[in-house]
Amino acid sequence: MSESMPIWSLIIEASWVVQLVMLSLLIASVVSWVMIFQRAILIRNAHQSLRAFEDRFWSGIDLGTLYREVATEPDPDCGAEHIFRVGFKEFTRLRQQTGADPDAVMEGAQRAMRVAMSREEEKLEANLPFLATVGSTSPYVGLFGTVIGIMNSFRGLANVHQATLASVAPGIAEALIATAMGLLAAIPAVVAYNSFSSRVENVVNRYDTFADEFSSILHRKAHTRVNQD
Amino acid sequence: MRIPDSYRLPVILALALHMLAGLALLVVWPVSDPVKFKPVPTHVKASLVQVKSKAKPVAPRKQVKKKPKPEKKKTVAKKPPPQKSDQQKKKEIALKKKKEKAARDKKEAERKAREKAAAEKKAKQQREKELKRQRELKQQELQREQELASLLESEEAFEQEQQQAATDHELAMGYADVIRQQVIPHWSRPPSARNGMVTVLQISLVPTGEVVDVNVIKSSGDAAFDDSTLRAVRRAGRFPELQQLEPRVFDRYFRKLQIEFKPEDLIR
Repeated sequence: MSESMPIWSLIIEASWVVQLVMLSLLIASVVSWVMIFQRAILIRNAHQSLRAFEDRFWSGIDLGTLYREVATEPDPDCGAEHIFRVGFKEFTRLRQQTGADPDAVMEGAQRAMRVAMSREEEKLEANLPFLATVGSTSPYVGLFGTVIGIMNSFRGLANVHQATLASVAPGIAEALIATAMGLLAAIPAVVAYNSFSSRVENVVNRYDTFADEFSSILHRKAHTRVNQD
Repeated sequence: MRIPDSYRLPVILALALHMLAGLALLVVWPVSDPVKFKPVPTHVKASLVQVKSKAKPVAPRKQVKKKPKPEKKKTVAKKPPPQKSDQQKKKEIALKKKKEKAARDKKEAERKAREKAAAEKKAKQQREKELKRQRELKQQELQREQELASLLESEEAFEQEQQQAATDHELAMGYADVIRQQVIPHWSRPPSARNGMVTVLQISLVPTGEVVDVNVIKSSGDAAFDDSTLRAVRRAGRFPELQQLEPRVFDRYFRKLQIEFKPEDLIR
């Protein structure tokens, strides 16, 4: 085996179980990278639009005007905007009803915002479990392929009288590729999962804060109006 | 299948990434390969020398006897016609001539009859010969067939034997390797050792694995070096692994074993 061993020949000559393992790992890797890119884009957009919306919200603009602007061209990426839209809509709708109790109005608006927030959170966290699964299982899948490969290589060794390193090495190298692929699939998935989940948590916290701030504004509005009446 | 818009770019990116990685592997791997673990020069080499020549000389090659062609003896002995020895005596006596002529005629007739008889005899002989030849031919054919069958058989046996010899050889190689590795630790090279020196020893072994005799077959030209190799083999003493060998293999390969010593790993 003094000849160079191109990696492709190692993959092609592996047994079919190992090849199956490699194929599944390759697919897992591709899909998890799709998820990684998609999540990265989505979370970045959510961050940016959240910041932009907060700037707009605190710029002293009239809430009714803001609502009209937002309702005509909603930004699907921005969770805070969605929360604001739903909350404000619910608030105005309830308040327009005659004899609405300010607390009841507030409660309704808050409930609507909670629902919108959990929707947003769901949207942000979608696909993250897949990354976690790939991250935690693909090393084991790769290891399984390696064990099978090494088993085969040793079984082939049983017929040889004098076992040399050269007679085992190719089989082991072949088998180890499966582990390498498993790790290659798992490492980015784990890193991405950790980074994304912390970022999602960050964004969700900010949504939460925003919802609280917004509901305090609405609360003030509801009660001042009642007091005026 | 339609991919949602938000996924189109990620899919493209992911596929591109994997293709790039695969391409990089394809390109980079052979470059990083030339490390190719250089085989450590084997400075002690055990070469197998067969003592007994192979039991059978290369199978009996086709030596189908050439069928002896019956020579066709077609040389019918033709009697030279008697010389006409007359005429030159002039016409002395017509009578005599006449007589002579009559005698000649007679002779001629006689001769013709004789010839005819001879020809008949010849034809008969020929026929007999032909028959005999055919019989012989048949016999030969039969014989040839038998020969062919036996040849085939022997060929098969030969093949089997060769296979056996191949496995034996493999086995013997393994044991030669064991011996080599046992000798190496006992070998301390003298300071006069130089690269390019080769000493070949012949070791005589007995089936218990004991070394009974060591000889230098090919000297390196340096007495100290030769001595060091001899010492190494004597110190190794015996190779008990050889007891596991079948006597047949032992006889063929290990009665006399040649070991080559080369100080190739010296950096000088």
